[in-house]
Amino acid sequence: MVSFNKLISLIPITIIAIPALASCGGNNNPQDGTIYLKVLNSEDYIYKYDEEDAKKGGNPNPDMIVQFEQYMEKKGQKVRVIYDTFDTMENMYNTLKTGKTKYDLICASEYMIQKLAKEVVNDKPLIQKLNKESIPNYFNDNYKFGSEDEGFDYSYGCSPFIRNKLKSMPAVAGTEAIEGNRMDDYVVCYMWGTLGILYNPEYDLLKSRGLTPDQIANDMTDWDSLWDSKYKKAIAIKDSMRDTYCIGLMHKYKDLLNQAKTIEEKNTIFNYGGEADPDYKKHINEVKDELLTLRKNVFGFEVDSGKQDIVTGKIGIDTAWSGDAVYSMDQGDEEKSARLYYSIPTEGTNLWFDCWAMQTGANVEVANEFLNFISDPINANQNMGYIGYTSPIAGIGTFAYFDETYSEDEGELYDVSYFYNADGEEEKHGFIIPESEIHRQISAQFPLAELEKNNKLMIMQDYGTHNDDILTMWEQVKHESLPIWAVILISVEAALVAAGITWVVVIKVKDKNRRKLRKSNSIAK
Amino acid sequence: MKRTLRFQRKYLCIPYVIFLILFIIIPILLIIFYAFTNKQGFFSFDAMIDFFSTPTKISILLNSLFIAVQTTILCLVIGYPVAYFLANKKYNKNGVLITLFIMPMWINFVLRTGATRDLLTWLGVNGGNAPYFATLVGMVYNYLPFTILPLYTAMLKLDKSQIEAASDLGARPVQVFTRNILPQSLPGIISAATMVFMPTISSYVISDTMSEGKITLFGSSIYISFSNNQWNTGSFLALIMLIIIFISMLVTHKFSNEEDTVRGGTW
Repeated sequence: MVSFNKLISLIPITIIAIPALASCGGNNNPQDGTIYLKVLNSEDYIYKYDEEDAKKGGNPNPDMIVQFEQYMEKKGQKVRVIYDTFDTMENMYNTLKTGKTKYDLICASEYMIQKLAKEVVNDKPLIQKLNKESIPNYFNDNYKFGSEDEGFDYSYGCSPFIRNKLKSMPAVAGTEAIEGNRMDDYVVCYMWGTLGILYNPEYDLLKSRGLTPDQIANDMTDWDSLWDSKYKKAIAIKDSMRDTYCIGLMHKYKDLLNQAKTIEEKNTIFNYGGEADPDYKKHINEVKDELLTLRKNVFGFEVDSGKQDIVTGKIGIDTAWSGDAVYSMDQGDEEKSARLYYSIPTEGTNLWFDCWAMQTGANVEVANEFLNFISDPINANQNMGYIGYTSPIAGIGTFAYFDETYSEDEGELYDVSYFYNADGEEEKHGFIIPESEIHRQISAQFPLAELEKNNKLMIMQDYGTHNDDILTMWEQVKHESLPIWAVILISVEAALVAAGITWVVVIKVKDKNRRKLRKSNSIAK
Repeated sequence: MKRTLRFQRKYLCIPYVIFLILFIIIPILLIIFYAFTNKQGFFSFDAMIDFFSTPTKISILLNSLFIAVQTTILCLVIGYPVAYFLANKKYNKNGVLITLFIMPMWINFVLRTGATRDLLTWLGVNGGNAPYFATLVGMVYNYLPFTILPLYTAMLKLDKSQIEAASDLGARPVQVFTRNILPQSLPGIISAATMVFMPTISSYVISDTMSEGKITLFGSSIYISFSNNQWNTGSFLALIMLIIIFISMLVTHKFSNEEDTVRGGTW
């Protein structure tokens, strides 16, 4: 028994030891001409062949990785992709930092790329800049929307909207985004999206409180509603420091955000507490107080369970990433259990990008081929169909995909010109969406046009050296003190233990006396 | 005489010794190293000072202790009578009942916890409105089989004739229990208590699920530190947990020894 207990107690240690001990030196070993490309990505974040789905008329193509290998084979190069996944980005960062594991390409969120860009391993920067000419499917400076039949041959590549956002973001958090220090120089964006509120306007608990669907829909256009006691215990928020912190921030500095005109001013406010904020301690504390009030109003914190819980009706409101929201809405429709909606409040939200970065020492040529391959609209569409997030690849290729998925015969024009148009292009582009569908899947895949027009899509950078302060704050927010019954229970137990000890002592003394008496009696006899 | 490599029976231990060094000794040394260094790798007490000067961290530790102690007590209170009756052949024919009680252990605990969470939500008392209660329910449910099993084995070994003798010699039922059955089953109680206390103090998956993420226990505090690149803080926390488990083992060990001598003295 004891050794088993010892083992149990040692489980955390072995878990800790694994990353320290795990090291693979797998570099390219071209004996038979095969080149190995090591790729690191989140779990379930690339197209995979699904037999059942294919039978029902889904995508019949093999895995994206296999497609790439076949593509390279046709080009006369034998490439094998070693595809690894990670569970959390923080763990991935810790392993890469040790310099023991090397990859050619890593896919991570924009703030994590900022962290990686700062790292130096073995006197070399951890990630390297990209050669834009080698990835023409993504870096297309002459982008223009239109089809080839109309004479456009520039309708491919990353959307200028995404490129501009990434250009405005520095590669090192808290510095100026000047030439050579832009995210755009380092990454190929893979998927992008927003953080919003996913809600069920017909939720029973809310109905029983006399709230009408219209009223709920209206309230959900405001982050403040999460603090509203009307929605008490119907809400789940993200058990993720960055996402919940930014919601607290938008609630606290609502007026400041609304007064700010330009996107630069808004981004400054949105990055309160971050590396470039001189007054960070005060701001973090103010947001903490807001989040402490918020936690009293919510049902719970979740990272992954929420997308299912809102479908099964455990919660009615959930803060959700756009791709998860699409998943939940699809599930709700399929099971006919809940008709869910997605809303981005008018204060704005956090725009995020999952991007590919190239590690220093990578096989640049093959890695570029891979980036070019997944940026091909055909492949981007396959990935989007599988993952449910939105690819940054614009042009007629992805437009046709969305048009086929979402457009109906009748409805309003859902304007996505900000995404599909090059700068200065006047013509409007969009999908025909029935009015009842506007605030559903499409609004999760493409935020409403007025949000971008009014500079509501902000970017939260890495917190840099202030990360530990925000983590301390987060720990306090996540902490629940003991309830009164627990305190009473402890006192009662303590009293019982004391009583038990006295009782044992009394008995012992009695026994001793009795034995003494018996002894003396027998001696007397 | 040449003494070449002749097979000795103790060589059979080599695989385990390698395992021991690789996965137990080296990690412990690494933890101690990280606990007393700073980010630059120099010797420092930063992590210790940080821990003792952060009320949240200490409070998290106390809360984990609370959960662990309450789970242990509740498991014993519920498990003890059950084990007593299960050990009686009259109720537990062919060991069917005990199998039923142990059966939950066959299912993965994450699945079990998920089901408990759904059940509590259906009952209306869930992590959303009573996080500590829900966590306790989840913990007790998960560790109850671990309590019943050692208690059951201890109860099977009860000296029936001694119990009979005690009542024949005029001991009241309460006295039979407190002065005969209880001392006899004490080793079972202690091993049951350790079986529950040690895993609960470090567990966090159950509390995360059951409390809807509202309660942070010491285990998750360690996890958060490590995943946010605070290796030194995390190692120090892990060290504290090791010390607590070590102390609890010492106490139970001493307790059982002491009771043995007392029992010897009683007769």
